[in-house]
Amino acid sequence: MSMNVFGLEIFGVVIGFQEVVFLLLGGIAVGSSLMMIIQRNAIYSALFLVVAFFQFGAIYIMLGAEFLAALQVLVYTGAIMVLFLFVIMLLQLSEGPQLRDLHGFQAVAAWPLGLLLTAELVAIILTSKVSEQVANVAVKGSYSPSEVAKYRGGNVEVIGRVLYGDFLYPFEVASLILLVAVVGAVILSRKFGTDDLVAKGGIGINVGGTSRLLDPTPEERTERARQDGY
Amino acid sequence: MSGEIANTSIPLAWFLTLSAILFGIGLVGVLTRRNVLVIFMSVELMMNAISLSLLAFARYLNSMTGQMFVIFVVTIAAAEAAIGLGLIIALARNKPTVDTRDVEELKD
Repeated sequence: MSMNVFGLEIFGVVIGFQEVVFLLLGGIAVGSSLMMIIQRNAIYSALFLVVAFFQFGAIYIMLGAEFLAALQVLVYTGAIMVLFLFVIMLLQLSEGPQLRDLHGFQAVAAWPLGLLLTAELVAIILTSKVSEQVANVAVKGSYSPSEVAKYRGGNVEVIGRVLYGDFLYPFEVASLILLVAVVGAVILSRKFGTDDLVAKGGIGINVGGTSRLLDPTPEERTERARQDGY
Repeated sequence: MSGEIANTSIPLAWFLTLSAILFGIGLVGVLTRRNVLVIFMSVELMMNAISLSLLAFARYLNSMTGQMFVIFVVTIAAAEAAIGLGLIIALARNKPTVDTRDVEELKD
């Protein structure tokens, strides 16, 4: 699959078309991630992260995870990052923070520690010969790319079979988690302190009143006790 | 067609190295930035790096478990983003800031 198109060989790996594409995608992902954490403007950071997520999606296709590539673009970039951009624009943040304004030790230690951790991880990965180890694993799963290609629906059909088969219980739990998230988001955005009957006792935004949940008036106390059956 | 692309000759170590580098970048972003939203985005970047690592192993071990894991990571990230951004908006409405230096009320 990897023809020696360019006549190059790095560390024993023939550089074919796939390797070039991977290096390009990976380079853009790393570059835009670096730009993301350096940018002062939060909107630019979010847009650089969107670029990085698109590279991730393309790499997922190289790994044979087509459904997840689509999920990445649709859900991560199309929903989550759009949500981020909405919040950034809603909150009207003007100027980003500076590194020198951080607490003293953190400003000095952040970059060296991060680079040290990354260097450690890369060193472990490169010296552990993980590529040979994973090629020599005795028992692998049954979904090799040629196997997946035999299904008419390809990767999507296999994901459907596995998700609703072996992983049905986690799937249902995930839907419950989403329900909890929706309920939580609704509660977090409610106002309390108004006279609105529905909004009394909310957790969210304080518009200057008191919390009727925590500080009920005597009439409310009686009413609640009556409702509880006393 | 899907079988051909996924029969990649790229060594697994390359994918894991890319994942580690992106994880490190996200980590530096969390430690370096003071804007709550950019910290949150760096955490999302770390989660994506982990997803990449999971998918690389899923591909090289011919397993679907990695892909299932990533589906749930995306789901949980979406739920977390909803709640987290709701919290940030509530924070910003109560105090007109999203700078972590200004929200030190729990500190001694």
